[in-house]
Amino acid sequence: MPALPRDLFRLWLILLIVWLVPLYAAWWWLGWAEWVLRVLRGLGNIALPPVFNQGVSEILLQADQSWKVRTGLVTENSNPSEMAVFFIEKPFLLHIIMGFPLLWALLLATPGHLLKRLIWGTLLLVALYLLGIAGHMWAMITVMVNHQPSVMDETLVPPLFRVSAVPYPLWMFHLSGFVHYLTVLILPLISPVLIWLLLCPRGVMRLVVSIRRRIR
Amino acid sequence: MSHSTFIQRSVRSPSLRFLVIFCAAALLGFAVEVIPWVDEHLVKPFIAGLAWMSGMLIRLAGGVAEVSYDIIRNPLNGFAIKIANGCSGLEVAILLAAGMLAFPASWHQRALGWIAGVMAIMSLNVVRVISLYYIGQYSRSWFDWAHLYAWDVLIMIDGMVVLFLWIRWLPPYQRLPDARLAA
Repeated sequence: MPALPRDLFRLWLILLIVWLVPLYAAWWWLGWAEWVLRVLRGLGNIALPPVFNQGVSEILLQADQSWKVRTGLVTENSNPSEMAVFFIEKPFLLHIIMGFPLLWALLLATPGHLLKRLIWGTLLLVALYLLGIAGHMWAMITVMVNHQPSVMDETLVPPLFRVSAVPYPLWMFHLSGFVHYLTVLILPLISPVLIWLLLCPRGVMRLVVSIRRRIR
Repeated sequence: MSHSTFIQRSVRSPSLRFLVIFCAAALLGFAVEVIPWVDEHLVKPFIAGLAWMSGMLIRLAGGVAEVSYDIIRNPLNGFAIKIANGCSGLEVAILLAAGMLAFPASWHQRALGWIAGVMAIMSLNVVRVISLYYIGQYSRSWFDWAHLYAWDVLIMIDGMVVLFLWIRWLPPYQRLPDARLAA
């Protein structure tokens, strides 16, 4: 086993912070976030309508960069019949995808096959964040269909109109609330770390070994 | 790969075992956190306590703040922030507990590490709340940036550093079967 530098952990932490600063600056001010959102919206338009059946028909981009999600659910008492829509605000979307710079910084601070890991990590995170957005959409749809606020998030309230659809069973309504909680609060933070652990097991193990005080 | 092969591999591979136990424990912790009784009797009072502590520190430092349950408000300009679920630091505390549970150590070592770690996370979280209270009065776009990115990432890194420091604090290895992985 090669000698492990005693300050490997400190070096890693400094590198992590050194990478985080320019990456988040670029993410926020150079428009990288908008570019990733555009990719996610394109993928969402392909992948989500078949998954949600009537729940999602199309994702449109608004002038303020928020998303307008057109559903196949007919609103009650509308003549001619109108399809229900819901909106996802841009700050909310930005929060869901906040982990990209963190993942890139974690990968760049850990020695190894950088390019391969960056590509795989980015692809995995795109998939996970698309799942996160799908989780949010599912919660929005269940709240709309059951016409009652989510028990797990007081900000998820039904719209003024009702839709003609069979309500979800109570357990599924609660499950969608829990999925929403996980995908909105937990997934954005933890997924970059999990992907880092998955892609750099040796690097992480090396880091763990180096921070132990004595090694036999 | 069959289920039994996956389980056997998970038991043998320390990284995979860590990931499996970590994910399962974290999921269980979050499921407990969202139980309505827990939310009403533990999480919400905890958030109110966090708001009270932040307001008190602002006033102690000579600032102006009124606290009403989970809302901190500046009576001079009407600006207010509400500490929502997800801004309490509890999620990172659950992740830290899951990480400590997944790493080989005694229950005593885990308990000590978790208490110290939670104190570190909560201290930083109070700084986060106070800083957001002031940043929000200065600029909305800076508030969004700090709220959506900077502080969430800092709290997460804080949790990771606490976990690494706890691992460092643990007694030395008797045997190091996984050292070859580091080579």
